[in-house]
Parts: sequence; C-alpha cells; structure tokens
Amino acid sequence: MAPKPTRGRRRGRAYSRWWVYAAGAGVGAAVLAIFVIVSGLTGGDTEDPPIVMPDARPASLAQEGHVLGSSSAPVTIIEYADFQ
Amino acid sequence: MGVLPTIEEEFLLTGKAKLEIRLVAFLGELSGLAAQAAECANEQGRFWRFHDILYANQGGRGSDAFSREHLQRFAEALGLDAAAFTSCLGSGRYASIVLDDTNAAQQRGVDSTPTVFVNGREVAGSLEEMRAAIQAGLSPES
Repeated sequence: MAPKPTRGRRRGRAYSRWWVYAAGAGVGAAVLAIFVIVSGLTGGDTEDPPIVMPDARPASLAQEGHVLGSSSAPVTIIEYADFQ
Repeated sequence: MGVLPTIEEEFLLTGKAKLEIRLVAFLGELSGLAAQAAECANEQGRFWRFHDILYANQGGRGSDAFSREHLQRFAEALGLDAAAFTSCLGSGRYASIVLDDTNAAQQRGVDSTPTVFVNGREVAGSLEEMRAAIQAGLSPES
C-alpha cells in the first residue's frame, strides 16, 4: 500500500505546477513581443505610400508620344532615361 | 529649378527645341517594367504625365516603387483606363521593345542615365552645358 502523501508534498506539487504555467506564459509573451518588434521593423502592416502628383505641364507645350515640344523645332534633344 | 524644367521653359515652350525620351532599363527588372508601363500609358496618350509621376515617385535601385502594384496605382491615380493598362502591362508586349532600345543605347555608347544628345552630339547634363549646346544648335553656322 502506497504511503499517504503529506500536506507539505501536495503544496510542493501545486507550487511546481504554478511555475510551469508562469514559465509558459512568459515564453508566450516573449514570442509575441518578438513578433511585434520584427513586424514593426520589416513593415509588417504595409500601407501604400501616398502618390506624389507633380504639376501638369502647360497646355501650350506640345506632347506627342515620347516627344515634348514642337516637331518643327530646329534643335533635337535626345535623353536616354531609366526610371529607377 | 532643375535642368529639365529650365530647358522646357527656355527652349521647348519657345519652340526652339524638342525633347525626345528614349527609355532604357539598365537598373534591373523593375526598371524595365516601369518603361513598359510608360509605353502602356502612351497607348492612352498620357506618356509624359506618367513619366512625370514615375520620376516623382521613384525609390531608387532595389526599391519596389515600380512594382506592378505600384505602377497600377499610378495609372489609376492618373485616371487611365485601369483594365486596359493592366492588360497591356500583363501582356508584356513592350518588353522586347524596351530590351531592343536598351541594347541600341548601349551600342551607341550609352552606359548610364541620364545621357543627353543635342543634335546628335553627347552633352554633359549640367544646365550650362545644355544651354550652350542648344544655343550652338540654334546658331546659323551650325
């Protein structure tokens, strides 16, 4: 027949269980905090930046395809451009 | 005031010069995609407005400022026909044209941007040098 557990032993088990719960909650909180920090650093909630709308050109300036200005202008400027 | 706005005011608006842009993609995939998007805007007659929006919203090399999603947003902000724009960009029909233009530019000795030619002669990009080259092109002896 197994010996009857004393009151002291029972209280000891309850304490050790309490520490397991506390440690689990602590680890969970730490994981959550790391997730929040990493999300903030990497832009987790990605909101699109506002679009900058430049001023429109004067209506008197001819625009035809890739050419700006009068097609009969005596000087031709060619610009090689990369948008990025 | 930057070089281009000054040149526009002094020479383009006065009918003395015209500016032609040739799009190249030296800086990676999104460079090429932005150039294709500009061609798609050109289909709707809004090349220059789209060009200006791209420059106003560029994020530099390695940024995603010219991802498909952002290019689509620019098109919508500009009031383009969004469905036609998406279809155009999705079709990739300008991809080979941008690639050909980039190769042609390299064959001409262009290896960085912006590179500017005035009446066929390469000119450094400073305002004073551009002004001088345009004035030279306007003089009767040239």
